[in-house]
Amino acid sequence: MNTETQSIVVALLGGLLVSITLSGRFTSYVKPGFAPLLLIGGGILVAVGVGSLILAITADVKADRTRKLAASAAVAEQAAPVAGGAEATPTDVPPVHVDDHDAHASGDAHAAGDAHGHDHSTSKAPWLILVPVLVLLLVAPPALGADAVARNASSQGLAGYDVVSREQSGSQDASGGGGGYKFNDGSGSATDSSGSRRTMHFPALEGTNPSVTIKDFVLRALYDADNSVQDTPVTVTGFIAPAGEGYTDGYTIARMVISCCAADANPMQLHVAGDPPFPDNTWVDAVVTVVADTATLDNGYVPTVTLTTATTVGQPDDPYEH
Amino acid sequence: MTVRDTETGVEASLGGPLLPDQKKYRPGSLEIFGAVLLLAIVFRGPLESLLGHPVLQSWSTVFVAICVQATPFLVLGVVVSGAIAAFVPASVFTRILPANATLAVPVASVCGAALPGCECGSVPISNRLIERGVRPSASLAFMLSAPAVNPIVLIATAVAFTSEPNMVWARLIAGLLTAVIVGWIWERIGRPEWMKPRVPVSADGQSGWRVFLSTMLGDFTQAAGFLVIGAAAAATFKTIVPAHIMESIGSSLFLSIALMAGLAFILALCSEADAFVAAAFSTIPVIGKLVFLTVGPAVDVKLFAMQAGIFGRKFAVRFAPLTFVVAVLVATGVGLAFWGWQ
Repeated sequence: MNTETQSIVVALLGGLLVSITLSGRFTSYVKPGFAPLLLIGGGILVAVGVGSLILAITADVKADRTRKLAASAAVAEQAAPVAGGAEATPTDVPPVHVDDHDAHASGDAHAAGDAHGHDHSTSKAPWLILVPVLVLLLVAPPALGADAVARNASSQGLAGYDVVSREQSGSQDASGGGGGYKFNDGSGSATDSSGSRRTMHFPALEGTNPSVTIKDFVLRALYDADNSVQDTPVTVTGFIAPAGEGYTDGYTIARMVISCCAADANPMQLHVAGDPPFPDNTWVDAVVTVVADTATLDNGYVPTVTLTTATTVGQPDDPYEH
Repeated sequence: MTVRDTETGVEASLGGPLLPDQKKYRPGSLEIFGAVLLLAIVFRGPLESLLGHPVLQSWSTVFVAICVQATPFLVLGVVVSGAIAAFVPASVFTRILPANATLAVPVASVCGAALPGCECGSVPISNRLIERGVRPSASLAFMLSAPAVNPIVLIATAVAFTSEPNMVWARLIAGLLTAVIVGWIWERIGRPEWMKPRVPVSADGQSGWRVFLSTMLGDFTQAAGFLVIGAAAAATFKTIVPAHIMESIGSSLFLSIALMAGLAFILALCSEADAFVAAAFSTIPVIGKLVFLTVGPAVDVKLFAMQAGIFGRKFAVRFAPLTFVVAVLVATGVGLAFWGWQ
């Protein structure tokens, strides 16, 4: 790939990063906190691409002019052999054969391309940049949905617990321990060694059908000493997915949780009995309460919920929880 | 004379009637680029329905996510690399780094702590350092330590492991030790002919900004191309390996170390995010998590692709296994020292 094409591809990639950030589409791939990084990185790429393109074109034009001068000199030489070709050759043109590849290699365009050592113009690797660019530009993959839920599901009892401990570390609310990963004894269970349920206290829920994240809901269902989501209906936002492992009927209301980008996504699921009211991947605001003691080791700590209402909504600005 | 490369191909087509032997047409990269764009637009429908299959859709989302997430860090890396090429004279490095290899390697490793970034960015920087006359062993030690022990990564680790504050220290020590030991071993066994031959820099007569731009462009396009290969591989693993295999491993120390080392290689997570992922592997003993955090920034499928592209394949097939083995051993040792047999 030559310098001009490289510049265009780099500017294209940079522009694309800036545009998915400004349009908000980037939240399907990375967490919202990435916005400034993407804007800066994309902006630098656009500047590098445009700058290199300008340099390459001016160098090309210069080299072209030099070559034309040399060529016309050669014509003059052939046309007027009697007049003496030596005088007709402009002094600033190197006396070289214009059709020689090496003559061009000494020109400005090439010197600029080679300034840092290896010859990138013959490398095929830069072509690969077009793959993500074209995928983003033409297909625009959506946020991970129902298909990824089943594939990435792992025990929610464990995946969730550490996070709440992290958010509340140091607070007196964590009656079960000092926060962090202390409960993580590697047993894969949400109960302690004596078989009793590990509990902690959560902030009180306020208002009618307050909104909570699905992750918060699962944690409350599993560990809340006050059983808040058992008594108070709350609103969760998620999408419809097939029932998870350990369930033979019903369906799932799920949401993916990411800590950095979609590559580290884990699903949080709530099981609902009965037939799904909407097709897979439909986003809903669901008013739910948890059915006590339904999340067990066998079903990966996916609690069953009683669904009061479910209304379809558009995909949230940030399709993931964190 | 025959036209030798695509670049000349472009010019040949502009060459004019004077030069009969240049008339033979070969498409230049701009033409190919245009053709690819055109084809992609024409076949957009079929392409979309192909990627509409749920599995391929998940794959392409994860693939794009890795590319999007890594690009800003790669940009940071090539900006530093370009600045080194354009504005920092080679003599600076010979002054900073001890001439003695035994000392230069640890000094370079500690310097890595100053570069906030993740692993993608440190590959082009390390390549640039070698070109500026820094010993390969020291540059490679820098490459290994920078993503593992920089402040941002350590803060992320502290946040993810609130109740296990020792993890930050264990990670710092294991990361530094891995870099230093690999650097020393490379000093003994490394051969220059394993690396791609490089042409010495001839920046004479060129303005600093021109070198800066062309270095950034060249480094970025080269490294990003291989980043794409690595992202595709990682997305494939992520899509086909089910998540619950982690849980069935249970708490066997050896199995968990092997599993976590393998996962670190194939998942190719950014070193700024891997602590959160490691923390979520609840059934894995803490030593296994440390192995994950030590191997990941040093060697993974994405880094292997980038190193093969930038340093050469002969280099990568030797360096990657060496790093992998050293990182696993060091992390296990440091983990045992911190937490003992559990």
